[in-house]
Amino acid sequence: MPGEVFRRVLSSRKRGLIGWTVSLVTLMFLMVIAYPAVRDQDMFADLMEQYPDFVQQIMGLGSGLSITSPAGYLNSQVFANMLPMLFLIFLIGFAVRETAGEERDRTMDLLLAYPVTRERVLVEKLAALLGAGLWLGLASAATLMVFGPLVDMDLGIGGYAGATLSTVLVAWVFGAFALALGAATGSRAVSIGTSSGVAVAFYILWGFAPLIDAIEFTNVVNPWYWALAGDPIVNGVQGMNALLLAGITAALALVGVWGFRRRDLGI
Amino acid sequence: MPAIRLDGLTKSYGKARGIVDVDLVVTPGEVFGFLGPNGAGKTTTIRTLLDLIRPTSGKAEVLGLDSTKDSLEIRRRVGYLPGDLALWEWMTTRQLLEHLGRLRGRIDTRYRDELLGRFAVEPDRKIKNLSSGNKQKVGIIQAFMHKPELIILDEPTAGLDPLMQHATYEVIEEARAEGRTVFLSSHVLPEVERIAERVGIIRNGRVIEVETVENLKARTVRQLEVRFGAHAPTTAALRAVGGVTEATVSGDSAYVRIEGSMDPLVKALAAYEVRSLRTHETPLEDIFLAMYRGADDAG
Repeated sequence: MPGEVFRRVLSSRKRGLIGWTVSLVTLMFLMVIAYPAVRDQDMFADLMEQYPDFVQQIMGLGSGLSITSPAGYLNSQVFANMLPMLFLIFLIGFAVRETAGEERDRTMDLLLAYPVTRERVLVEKLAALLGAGLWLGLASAATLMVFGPLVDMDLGIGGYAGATLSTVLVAWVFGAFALALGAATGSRAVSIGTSSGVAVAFYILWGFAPLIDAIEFTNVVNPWYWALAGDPIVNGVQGMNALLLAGITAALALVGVWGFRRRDLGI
Repeated sequence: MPAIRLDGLTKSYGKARGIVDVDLVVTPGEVFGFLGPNGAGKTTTIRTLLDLIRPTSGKAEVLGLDSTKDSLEIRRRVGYLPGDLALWEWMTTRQLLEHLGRLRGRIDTRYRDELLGRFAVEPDRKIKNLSSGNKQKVGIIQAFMHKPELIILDEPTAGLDPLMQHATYEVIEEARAEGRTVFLSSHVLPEVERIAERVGIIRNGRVIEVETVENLKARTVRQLEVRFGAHAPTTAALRAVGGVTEATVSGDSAYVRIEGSMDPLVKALAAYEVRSLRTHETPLEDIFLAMYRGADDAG
């Protein structure tokens, strides 16, 4: 029955997902009630301007947003760093457990002795991973949208959609990367280490790229750049960038399928 | 068309492990025992049949289908119990069996439910709370529940108490009676002797013998300890008896190793007062030694 693996994966992660949802909703709520303290202190804006450009960039204020504005505040505190990092931690862990982890637990042996192809297993697991990422994004955005008006913080539907989708897409890309590595190598260490290392390296490159001409070219292949280019938190969903990231996610999954199909399963 | 046909099947891993040039034919409807010590290559062979690992060279056919190209169709028609069984621990037995059933599409649940009863498995307990024996039972049930044409069992009775071993033998026997094929691996000879019609013996990755259980028994090595009354026979006299490969007499007791039929020895002993006679189960290694000797004689 199609979707059987997808359903099992999600129901096995149900408790984890509930825990993460509760934590994210709480965290977003705290971010909302902390906003008036920042908004009413011009000092913060002055302080930020004195920070090095690198810090301003990785705080999502590179394009001149003010930290005291709703968009600047949320970008710097939530969407340009903390939220994608949290999503990454969740999705990379998810991806590794479902590939190399399931192989190490040896339940993969039983699963693949049933009439399901390896590509189907991986595609259904990818779908569960993407769904979980999307769910976390929606829960976070919904919290901001519900409680934001209490402190006069509103990005409008377009801003929330743009910022949330970017966050989710970046997590999807690196989650799919971890899934592909776990499936193709069967090694949890390789999968966790490489995917989180590459994610952080690209994040740092994205922070420095506007400042150092010599590394600016890396933006072309940097998922962080494509996620945050065009300030989606102000200008809404950047369609082409989003499609590009979705495409990269799919391409990485395909590489994972190719690697998973051609190798021996470990015991 | 054979249920399983292995043709020069080879799987190399670095140095010691793996299998070399395995040829084997399993006929439909038989119970075939795949016997060998741990690490001999039983699991490697079995996992190749299910396309979990790919042969380095040679070919495996299952139900007439190629093990690599037609794996999906093979897995649809086969039931498999892994040697080192692992299940999703957070599920209950019922959830697990339903999940696995749905992976096959729709299956008739009557036989599954009957097996749950026969193996006395409590279906609503979580797998993680089951003993290893109970987990093994769940593994056996999932291999048989859809009544597949071919059932591949890797060390099925490991960790089962004698009662449940017996229940497993019954289920295997039922499958055979319905014309289905069972291929099982084991490292204990008595088990295979009891349920299989033919045996393939694997050692160090090579199949060294394929034989009917009947013929194998005829060649079985037994070890006896005999205590005599007034006179004990001489060592030389015992060694002269047909089938005896080794004998030592000390005082009133003798230690004898005999291959094949016991009849000549029993007749010879009848001339003496025998106070006690004990036979020991033959270690598998001794059987292999006998096999090797047999092979040498032939060559």
